[in-house]
Amino acid sequence: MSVRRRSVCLLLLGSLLSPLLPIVSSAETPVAFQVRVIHATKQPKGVDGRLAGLAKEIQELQKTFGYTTFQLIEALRGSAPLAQPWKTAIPGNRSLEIVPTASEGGHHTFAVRFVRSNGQVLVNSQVRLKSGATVFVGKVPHQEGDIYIAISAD
Amino acid sequence: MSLSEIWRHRAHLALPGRSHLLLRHAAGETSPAEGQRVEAWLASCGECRRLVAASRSGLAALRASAPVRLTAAESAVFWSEVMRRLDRGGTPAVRPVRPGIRELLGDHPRLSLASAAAAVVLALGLTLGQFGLWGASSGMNGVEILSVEAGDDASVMLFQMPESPVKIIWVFEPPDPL
Amino acid sequence: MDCSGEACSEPRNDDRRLVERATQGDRDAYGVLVSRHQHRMFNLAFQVLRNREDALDVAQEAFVKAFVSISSFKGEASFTTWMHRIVVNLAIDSLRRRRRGEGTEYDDGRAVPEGGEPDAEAPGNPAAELELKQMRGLLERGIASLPPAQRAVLVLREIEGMSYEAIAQAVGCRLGTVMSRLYYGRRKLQQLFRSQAADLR
Repeated sequence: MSVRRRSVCLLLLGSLLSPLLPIVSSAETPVAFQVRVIHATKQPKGVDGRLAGLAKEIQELQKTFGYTTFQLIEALRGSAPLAQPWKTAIPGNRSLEIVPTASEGGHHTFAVRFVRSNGQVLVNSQVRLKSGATVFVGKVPHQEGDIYIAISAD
Repeated sequence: MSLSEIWRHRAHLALPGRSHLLLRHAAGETSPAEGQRVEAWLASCGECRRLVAASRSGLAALRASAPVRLTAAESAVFWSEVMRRLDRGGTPAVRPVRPGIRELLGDHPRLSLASAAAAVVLALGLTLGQFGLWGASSGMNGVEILSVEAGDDASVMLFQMPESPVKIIWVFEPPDPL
Repeated sequence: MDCSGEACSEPRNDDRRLVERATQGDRDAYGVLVSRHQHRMFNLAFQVLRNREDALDVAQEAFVKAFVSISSFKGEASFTTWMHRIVVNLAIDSLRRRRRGEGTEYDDGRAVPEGGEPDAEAPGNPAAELELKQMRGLLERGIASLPPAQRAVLVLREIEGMSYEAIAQAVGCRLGTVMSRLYYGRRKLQQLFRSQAADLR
């Protein structure tokens, strides 16, 4: 095959394969999210100022369940490529596992698993979050209150 | 997770911490450290003291229930009655009586309200979803729970607060063993 | 009480020998087992059912059922524990059937159990007798209002003194379920006795 013909073939192959590039690269591009571990109790202490970003949600939890104190125990920034797990420990001998499974046009799908220390899966769910949206997983009884985990897509 | 699956799960409701602790204390089941904390707290809470006292009265009455024995006559014929039933062909296979929905809900009274609320919300959500009324493809306020599965030892409910976009994947699991 | 200490090992071993013989069809051996455990199982059934006739029926059925399935008794737990499970489950079934048949809800209106033991604790003291009667009435109302499974767990814990694990084994449910049922059962008693104390003030 002449050099010219080879170049044309490569160019054609490249243009055929190029639409796949975003898929390949997005599979490897980590999907970012935020995890906030919140301790809610009925003691008269107040709302942690660092939870200002979840003010609306906190207000709803207050109204519905009567909590008066919300403390941010941990705020984590996580990221993982598609189909790769990200894990963190949760108070109460539990752990949280998040696996991004799809990410497209500002909507991200995650597998969220809540696991006991012995590896037993308590809940396995699929959630789809728009960038900036938050879903709550809870509640784990902890020190006369409850732990909620707020998972937000970046 | 379908609505019927949610209903079939038995809810190991996360027990309210304070109430549970008081009841355990009244039953004599708290550790020395826990007991000291409770006593210190009871010193400043009159109603809590009354609750603990009421609990203790109830449990004392129950524990003091004298054992009930077969009378001499009942005792004398007990074994012959068992043999008669055996000779008749043993116990016919009777299916155990499953608890009704009311008993299940009565077993977990707080769950009944939350379940009813969640069921209404889910039904509404499915209906509105049919008509595309959720809005953005990620559901209301950008959160869509696509599926939920509980492990063997837990139950799960989707909880959406009334008139609020806040969604909770609510996990009920048994407290860690004593 | 569940036999787990050394003091209980002799009767337990003896039970085991009797069970082995009963497995081979020796009814006389089984008869000895029955006479050894009949009072206890009757009492257990009664504490759940609060009715003498029903308790007698359940206790007898439990021994029949146990004999029929004796070959499935593996001996890991004691014979008592095994019988507890059969009795409790039959009692719960009986209670559910009774309630559905009568069409009544949890409070079946029997404030005092039929055929219980007469009051022996406060002879000749009218005030104490009255108080005792009131307490007993309250207790019966409380127990009668509990769903069958909660009632069984409360009885096994507070009257039989069984551990949480033993109760879970006896009732055939998870530890968390035992704790949750016990919580609601105890809370019911607490509410009743609390409201009575408030009425008296």
